Amino acid sequence: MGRWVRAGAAAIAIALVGVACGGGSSAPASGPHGSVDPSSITGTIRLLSYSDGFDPGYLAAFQQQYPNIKLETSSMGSNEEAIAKIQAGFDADVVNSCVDEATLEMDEKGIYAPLDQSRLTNWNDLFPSMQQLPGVQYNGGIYMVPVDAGTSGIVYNADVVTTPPTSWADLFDPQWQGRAGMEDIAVTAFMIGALTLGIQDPINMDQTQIDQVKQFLIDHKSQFRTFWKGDAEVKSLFKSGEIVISSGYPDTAKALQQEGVNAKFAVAKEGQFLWACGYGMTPNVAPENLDAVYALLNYYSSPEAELYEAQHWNYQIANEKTLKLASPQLIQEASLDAPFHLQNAIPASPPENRDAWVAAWTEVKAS
Amino acid sequence: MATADVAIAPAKRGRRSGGGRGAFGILFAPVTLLIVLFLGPMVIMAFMSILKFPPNTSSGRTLSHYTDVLTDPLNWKIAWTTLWMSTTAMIIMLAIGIPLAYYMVFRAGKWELFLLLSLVLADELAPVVKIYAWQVILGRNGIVNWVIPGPPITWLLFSPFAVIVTLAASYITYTTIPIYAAMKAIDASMFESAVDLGAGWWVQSKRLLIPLAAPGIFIAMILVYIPMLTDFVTADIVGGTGSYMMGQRVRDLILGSGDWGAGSALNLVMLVVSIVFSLLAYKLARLNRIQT
Amino acid sequence: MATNVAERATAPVVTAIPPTAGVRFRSHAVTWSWRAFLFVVYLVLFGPLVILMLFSINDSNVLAFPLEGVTFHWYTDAFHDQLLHDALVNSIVVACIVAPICLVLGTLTAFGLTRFRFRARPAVAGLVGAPLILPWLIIGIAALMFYVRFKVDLSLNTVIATQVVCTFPLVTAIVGAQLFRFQRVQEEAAIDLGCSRMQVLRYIILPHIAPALAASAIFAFTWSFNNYEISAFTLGFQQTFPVWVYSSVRNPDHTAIVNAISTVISIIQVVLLTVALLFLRARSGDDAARGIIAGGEAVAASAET
Repeated sequence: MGRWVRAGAAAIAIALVGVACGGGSSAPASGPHGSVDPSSITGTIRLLSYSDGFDPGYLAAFQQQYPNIKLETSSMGSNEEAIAKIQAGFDADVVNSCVDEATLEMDEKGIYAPLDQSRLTNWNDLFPSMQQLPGVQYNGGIYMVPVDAGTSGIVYNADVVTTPPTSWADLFDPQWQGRAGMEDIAVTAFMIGALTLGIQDPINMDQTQIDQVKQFLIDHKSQFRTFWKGDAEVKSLFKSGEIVISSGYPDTAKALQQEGVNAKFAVAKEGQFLWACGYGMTPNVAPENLDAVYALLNYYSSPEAELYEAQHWNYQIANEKTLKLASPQLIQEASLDAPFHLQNAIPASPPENRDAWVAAWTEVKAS
Repeated sequence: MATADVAIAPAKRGRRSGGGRGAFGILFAPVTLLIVLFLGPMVIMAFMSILKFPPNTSSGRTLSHYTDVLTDPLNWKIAWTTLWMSTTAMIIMLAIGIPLAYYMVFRAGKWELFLLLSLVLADELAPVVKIYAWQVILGRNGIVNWVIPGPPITWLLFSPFAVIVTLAASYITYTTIPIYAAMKAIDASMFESAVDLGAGWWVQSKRLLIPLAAPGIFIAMILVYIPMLTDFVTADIVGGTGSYMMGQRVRDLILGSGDWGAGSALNLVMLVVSIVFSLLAYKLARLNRIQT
Repeated sequence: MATNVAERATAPVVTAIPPTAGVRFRSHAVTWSWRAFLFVVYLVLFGPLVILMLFSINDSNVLAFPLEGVTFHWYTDAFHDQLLHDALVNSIVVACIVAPICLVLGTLTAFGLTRFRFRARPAVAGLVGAPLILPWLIIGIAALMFYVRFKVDLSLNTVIATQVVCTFPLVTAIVGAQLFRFQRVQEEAAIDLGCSRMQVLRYIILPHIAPALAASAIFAFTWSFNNYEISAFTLGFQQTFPVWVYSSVRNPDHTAIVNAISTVISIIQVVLLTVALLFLRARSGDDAARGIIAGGEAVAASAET
C-alpha cells in the first residue's frame, strides 16, 4: 500500500513543480520514485459528503499518510440538501455528489470548479465508462472524480416472497399490499414507476409522462408501508417484518443475511439503474489548501481506498487497478470488473428535468 | 436588580402609572435581541418569498408564491390532516397532563419533586432516537402486538394513529410542566373550603381547578400545539405514507424541490396563523383571570 | 393561624370528610386509580428509553427483534469515536452558555410582560412568542442566510446566538404562567410593612417563582442540548451531538452507537438529578414553608377584600 501512495505523492510533487502560479505550500521537487514526504503537505479541507465518505475506517489510511492535513467534515442527507446549504452560504472545499442525483446540476450552478487533470494522479486508471458519466466532465473540463457505483434492484425476503421477483411490477403486486417498501428518493421512485408503466427511456420523460407516473404512484401509495431513508431504516424494516419486498441495493441483502434474514437481491427485467458518486472541489478553496484537496481526491480514487469500499459495502469501483488488489471472489460478488456493462443497465445519469421529478415526488408524498 | 426595583416601585402607587418606562427598561435587552437575531432572519425569509424561482436576487419579485400556496388544494388537505392529528394529540395530552399536574401538586406530597424530575428526565433524550423506539413498540412484530393475542394489528404503526400517539408521548412533559407551575400557585385550602361546602370532585375541577390553572393550560397549548403543527420528524419516521404533515411540506418544498419561494411563503402564512392563535389564547387566559 | 394554613395546605383534601367505611373504600379505589394512571403515564414516558437501552447491548446494529446476543462493544466504540467526543463537548458547552442567558432574559421578559400594561404589549408578546411557534427548521435556514448576508462566520457562536433567541421565550412562558397567578397584594403588603425592594424580591417574589425558574433552567439546557434544526444550519464545521445523531441515521453502525451513548447520557442525568434532588431537599425545608405561608397570607388577604 505504501508504494502506491508514495508514488501518488511524488506525482503530486512533480505536478506542483510544473504549476505556474502555485499557491502556498508546495512540496519540494524530487525524482519519480517519491522521496516526497506526504507529511509536508498541510492545509485544511472542509468536506461535505454522505456520511460514508468520512467513515473513520475508510479514511484511516488517509489520516495516517497525511498527518498534517486537517479534515473537517459535515454530512449531507441528500444532494439537494447540499446544494440548498451551499447556495445559502455554507462554505465547503470538497463536496460529494452522485451522478444520478445532482453532479451535473452542481457543475451548472458553479458549485463545482474545474479540476486540474495533471494533478489527478489516478484519473488515467479510471474505467472509461466512469470517466464519461454525465457531470464528471463538463464544458471540456473535469469537474468531478468518480469513485464508486452500484446497482438498484429489488430486495426481498425469500422466506415470504417464495417466487423470486423478476419485474418492477412485482413491487406493486397486491398480495404484498402494505408490506412493500420504497426508498424516499425522487429519482428512484419515479424510475421504478416509469419502468413499471412500460415507459421507454425514462430518463428523458416529458411532463405528461411524469404526471402519468405521479398519478400511478399516488394510486398505489397504500401498497407501501413507508418510504424509507437510509440503510439503517430499510434493514430494520426487513428484519422486523414490516416489509418483505422493496427497492434496494445488493449490499442491503448481504447485510440482512448476516442478521439472519433470508434476503436476496433480484434484478428487474425492465432494467436496473445505476448510481455513481464521487467528489469535486468548490471554487472557494483557498490556495494554501489546494494541495490537501488534491491529496484527498487522489486518495478517494486510489486502489486502496476503493478496495475498502468494495470489501465493506460491495460498492463497485472506478479505478481499474483495484482489480489487482481484490480477491476473485470479491470481484465476482460485487461485479467489480464490469461497471455499467451489466445487463439491462440504465446508466447513472440525471434525468433531463430533475426538478420536475423532485417536485412531482413531493406531490406524491403529500397526497 | 435596578430594573427589578423599577418594576416594584410603581406597583405601590397603582398599576397604570409608569408602566411604559418600567417595561422599556426591563424589556430592552430581550426585545433588541429578538429584533436583530429573529426578526432579521424573518425579514430575509419574507424577501425570499417574493422572489421568482429560482431564488436569487436577479429573478425579480412576485406575489405568485402566495397565491399558489393558498390556492393549492393539496396544501389545504395537508393543513386539515395536520390540524386534526395535532388537535387529537393535544386533547390526549391535556387529558393526561392536567390530572398529572394536579396529582403532583396536591397529592404527591414528598414524591412531588421526584415525579417532576423524572418527568423532565424522560424528555432529556434526543427526540429522533426515541421516535425510532416507537417503531419497535408499535410495529407488526413489536411489543404491543406481542402482548395482544391474535393476528398482528398493522394500523398501529405507519399510520395517523402512530403519529398521534408518538406526538402525545413526546410532548407530555412540556404540557404538564406549565400546568404544574400554574397549579403550584393555587392555594390548596380553597379545595377544602369547596369540599366543606359540599362540592364533589367534578365541580371542584370545573369551577376551581381548571379556571385557576387556565394560564398554565393556555401556555402549555401554545408551547406544544403549535410545534406539533410544524413537526416533521415524527411523521417522517412513524407516519408511513398516509399521514403527511405541514412541517414535512415546508421542509420538502425548501430542501427537496429547492422551491424557496413557495416554502417561505407557506411558512410565513403558518406564522401568521400561529400568531393569531397565540394572541387569542393569551387574551383568553387573561380574561379568565379577571373573571376569577 | 399561619401554621394551621400551612398544615392544611399540605394535607390531602380527602381527610376533611369524616371517614366512613364507604368513603374509605372509595378513597382506596381512588388511590389505586391514581397509581394505575401514573403507572401507564410513566410507562409511556420511559418505555422508549428502556427499549433503547436494551438495544444498546444488542449484538446487532439493526433496531428489530429478535435480539442477537449481549455485547458491550457499542459502548467501547462510542468511547473511541473522536467525532462523537467533540460533538458532545460542543453540545454541553453551548447548552451551559445558553441556559443561564435564557434564564435571565426570559425572566426579565416575563416580568416585563405580566407586570406592565403598555400599548405595545400585545406586539411584544407576539414577538416573544414567535420563536416558539415558527418551525426551527425555517429559523435555522433564515439565520444562516442572515449571517451570510452580514458576513458573520458560522461557528458555535452563531449557534449560541440563534439558540438563545429561540429558547428564552420558553423561559418567559413558564415563568410568566406562574407570575400570572401571583398576588401583587403580598408585595404591596410587604412594602407597607417596611421591606426594602431587594427584600421583597428575595423573600417574596423569588421563592414564589423558584419552581418555575428551576423548571425553565432545566428546559433551556435540554432544548439547547437537543436542538437539531437550528444547529444544523448555523454551525460551521463543528458538530453538536444532535447533528451527529442525525448524520448517523444513514450509517447503521452509528445507530447502535447512538443507543449506547444515549443510555450513558441518561444514566448520567439520573445521577445528576438525584444529587440535585437530595441537595434541594436538604435546603428547601425553609423556603418551601415560607412559600406556603406566603400563599396562605395571600388567600387570607384576598378573602378580606
